[in-house]
Formats: sequence, structure tokens, C-alpha cells
Amino acid sequence: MQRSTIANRKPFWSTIPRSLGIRLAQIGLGVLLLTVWEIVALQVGSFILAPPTALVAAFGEIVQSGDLGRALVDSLYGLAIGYALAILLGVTVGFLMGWYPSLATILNPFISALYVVPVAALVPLLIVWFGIGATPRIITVMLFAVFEILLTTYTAVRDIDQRLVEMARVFGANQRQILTRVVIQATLPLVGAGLRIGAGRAIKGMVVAELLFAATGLGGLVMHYSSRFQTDRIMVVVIVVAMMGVLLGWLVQRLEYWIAPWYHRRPNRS
Amino acid sequence: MQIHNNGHNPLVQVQNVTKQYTKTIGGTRTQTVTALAQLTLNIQAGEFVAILGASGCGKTTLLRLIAGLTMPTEGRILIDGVPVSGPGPDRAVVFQDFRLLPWRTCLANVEFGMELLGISTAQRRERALEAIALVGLRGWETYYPAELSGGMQQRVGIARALAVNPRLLLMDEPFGALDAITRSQMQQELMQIVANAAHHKTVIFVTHSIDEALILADRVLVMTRGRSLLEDITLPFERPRRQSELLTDSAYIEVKQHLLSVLEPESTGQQSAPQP
Ligand SMILES: Nc1ncnc2c1ncn2[C@@H]1O[C@H](COP(=O)(O)OP(=O)(O)O)[C@@H](O)[C@H]1O
Ligand SMILES: [Mg+2]
Repeated sequence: MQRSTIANRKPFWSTIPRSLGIRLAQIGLGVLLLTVWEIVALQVGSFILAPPTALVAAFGEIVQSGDLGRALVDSLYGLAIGYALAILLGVTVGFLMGWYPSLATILNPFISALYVVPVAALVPLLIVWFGIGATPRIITVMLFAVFEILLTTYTAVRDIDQRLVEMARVFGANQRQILTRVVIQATLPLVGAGLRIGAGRAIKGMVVAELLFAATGLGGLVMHYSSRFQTDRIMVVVIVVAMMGVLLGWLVQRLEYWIAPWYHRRPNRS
Repeated sequence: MQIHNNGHNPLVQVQNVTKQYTKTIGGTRTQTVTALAQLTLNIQAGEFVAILGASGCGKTTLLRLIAGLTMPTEGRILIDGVPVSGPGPDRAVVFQDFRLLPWRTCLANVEFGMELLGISTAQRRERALEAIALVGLRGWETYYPAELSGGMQQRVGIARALAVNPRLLLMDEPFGALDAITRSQMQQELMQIVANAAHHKTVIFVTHSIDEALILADRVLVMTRGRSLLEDITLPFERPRRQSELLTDSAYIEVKQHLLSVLEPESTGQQSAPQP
């Protein structure tokens, strides 16, 4: 009885539906950050830190001039191709390594070595090999994202629940059927998590590539504006990049729900 | 009964089977674990055999050998006179931990084995629905395993095994993960299911519960770690049977007392107080 009275004394926010509560908290946090930012910006002066209200105007300007649109198209092109290559390569090699342990043993030291090399350190080489066109940017995006995707895929396949594999064998599954009917589905949730981490890394790679290789895309805009000390416009571009991260993360999450609905619909997980 | 040979051969013959596992310890040294030593037993078609023994005595190893998931170190296993060389559609396993595919609905899980056998979609659906009805899950076809209770998940496991219509049903402590009430309910239902199944099933049922063995089986085989069979008892009761009737049967009490005394030195940690 004691227990139930304690349980009944719920906090007021428990009456708000959970999803709505989370949205409200997000909006509240956003508003709080913007307010603090505005106040600090007014103190230090808009050259050092442009206030959010000034950013709205700056945003309008660079949209109107078409600068932002052109930069976005450039950036998204490199991002999309680089990320797609990272998925293709990461998932394929990760899967093969998980499926063939000896291949993993062979490749592991090479992957560990590549993994610790800062991609930025490869830039001079990439320029020598590929010039300064779209190719080195695509490769940079790919290199930024591929390892997370590869390693999560590899781990997921390697650590597949052997009990399910044994069950499939009992019912007569051959290796190909074990792969297509058990391993692929079982690894989808973890691979999806790898894709989500990889998406964030790909965006970082995109900006780094644009800053280092050529004044193009969103990174190029940042360079352009910083040469003119337009800090408000720099801030706008940074926010656009951050929004891309949010959007891409959300898209990949939708994809995860779509490919593994069973995983995300498990009840009673609270 | 469709017995393809001379009609006298047992369905399952385990002949002098030894199974050893080699474990690598510390990278270089290896250690050999003997899970089964020189085991010999026969099981006739249509029998419901309980394999009883403390944990670690090799029951799961025996089932995996019969299922063809692993090969004996010595000796051989024959099904219908033919040596086992791998899994086959004549045998199906019900696992203690259910092993349902979490991304498949109840219905799709039951269809899994039939899919691998290449049975047509229509026939698959029909047989799956039949098996689901047999285990009492009608109406739950579209539910995912995570949305089902343990007892219901195991019903799906049983339906999946029955749906491929095996001659031999291998059950490895299938109710071991269930609570006592569900467990006793499932025991009653399993008896009905086996009695009602399209073809009279041969069942090998692994358990470490004396009561469960006595309620379900025609025959109880008692296993001990590293030795050959301890006991081979044919039970004098008809199937299906009710636990309430058994409890007052003097033959039942006698067999139970006997099994308790046989298992006693093994099951030191288990309570084995005889019933009044
Ligand atoms: N894959 C394995 N590798 C090494 N030892 C094993 C393996 N499987 C089972 N064993 C050992 O064999 C013995 C019998 O195991 P098991 O057949 O699972 O017994 P039970 O099912 O009766 O509990 C145990 O000592 C266990 O540790
Ligand atoms: Mg076992």
C-alpha cells in the first residue's frame, strides 16, 4: 500500500504525453540558448559574436544573393557521393570481415593503422593524386565516415547471436540462407547505428575538405566570409551545417525505423 | 506408422557415442572435456522419451548430436538405420531459450522451417496456421516475439518445429525458462499436442525435473556425467495423463522415489524431499 501511494504522487510533467514533453524540452533549451547568446552578443559587440537577431538578417541576405543555395548544392554533391561510397565500402568490407574471420585477421592491422591517421594529414597527398576538384573532397568525406560504418558492421556480423544461427541450421539453412535470412536482419540495427555515426562524420569531412581543398561549398563560403570579416555570415553557415547534421541524422533514423521496425517497436523498454 | 525398414529397427540408435570438446586455455594449452562417454541407447518410433539428468551431464550434447549439429568423437548415431551426417527435415528442435527471429511475426517464425524446405507460399501459410491453432495461438499471428510472453514464445517454437512435420521432435528443457504455473500448463498442452499431431510423433524430451519426466514420458532415461546410462525405466501409465491422477498412483510414487535415490548423489544442490 505504501508503495502505491508513493507511486501515485507523480510529478506534474508526467501528465504531459512523453513525446510532447520531449519536444517542449527541446524548444525550451533552444530558446534558452538563443536568449543567452543574444545577451552575451549585445555585451561583447556584434563583430566578435553576432546576436541571433542579426543572424536572421544575414541569413536572408545570403539566401537572396544565391550564395547559400549554390554552396549547398556543391556541398551536398560531395557529401552524398562520399557518404554513399563510405556506406558501400564500409558495409561490404565490414560484412566480409565479420563473415570470414581470417579476412578480418588479415585486414585488422591495416584498418587500425588507417583509422588513427588524421585524414587532414592526407590532404597534401590527395591533392597530388587527385588535384583540387570534386574527387578529393568526395574521398575525404568517404575516409571520414567509412571506418565507423565498417567497424560497426564488422562487429555486428562477428558477434551475431550464434544461437539463432544454430536454430537456422537445425531447420536446414545453408550458409547463403543463414546470411540472407538471419545475419543480415540481425545486424541491421547495429549497422543502422553505424550509418548514423558515419553521417555526422561525413558532414565534418565535407566541411574539412571544402576548407582545405577549394573555396567551394559551405566550407568555401566560410573562407570567403572570413576573408571579409563577416562573422555573422560565418555563424549562419555554421548553423546551416549543424542543421544538416540534424537533418541527416533524422533521415538515417527514419531509415533505421523503416528497415528494422521490429527493433524499434519493442514494448516495455522504459 | 510409416517405418521404411524391416519394422523392428529403432528409429534412433545411439551406438557407443563419446563426445569430447577441446578447449584452448591460455592460447597454447588445450584441455579435453568429455561430455558423453560410450553412450548407447535406442528409441523406438512413437515413443515419448524423457532424458533426465543433472545439468552438465551431457543432455544438450546428446540432442545436438542427434540433431546433426555436431559429430561424435567416437561411435555413431543412426536415424532409421542411416548414420546422421547433419541436420535434416526428419528432425526438429525446440530450444530452452526459444530462439525465435525477433524481426519475424509469430506466423513468419512458424513458416521459417517450411521456407527452407521450399514449400510453396500457400501451403506454408496453411500449415503454419494449422500449427498455430494446435499450440493455441490463434489470433496472435501478427505479433512479434517481443510482444509475447515466455509461454507464448515457446508455443511459437513448438509450432515452428511441428510445422515441418518431423518424425522426431527434440526438446531441450523447453519449459525450463518458464514459471511453474505456465510450465505445468504447457506440459498438459504438449501431451495434447503430441496426441493430436497429424502423425504420431517420436519425442526426445530433455529435462532435469523428475516430475516433468514422469508426467510426460513413456520412458525415462537417466544420464550421469561421464558415464553410460544409469537407468532406463518404462513408465506403466497411459498417455495423455493428468498430474492430479498420477499423484495418488502408487506406481508413480514408487518410480519417483526410485529416481530420487538414483539422482541423489548427483544433485547435491537440489531439494529432494520425498512427498508424504
Ligand atoms: N561447445 C562446448 N565446448 C566445450 N565444452 C562444452 C561445450 N558444450 C558443452 N560442453 C561441456 O560438456 C558438458 C556437458 O554439457 P551439456 O551437454 O550442455 O550438459 P547439459 O545439457 O546436461 O547441462 C559440460 O561440462 C559442458 O561444459
Ligand atoms: Mg543443457
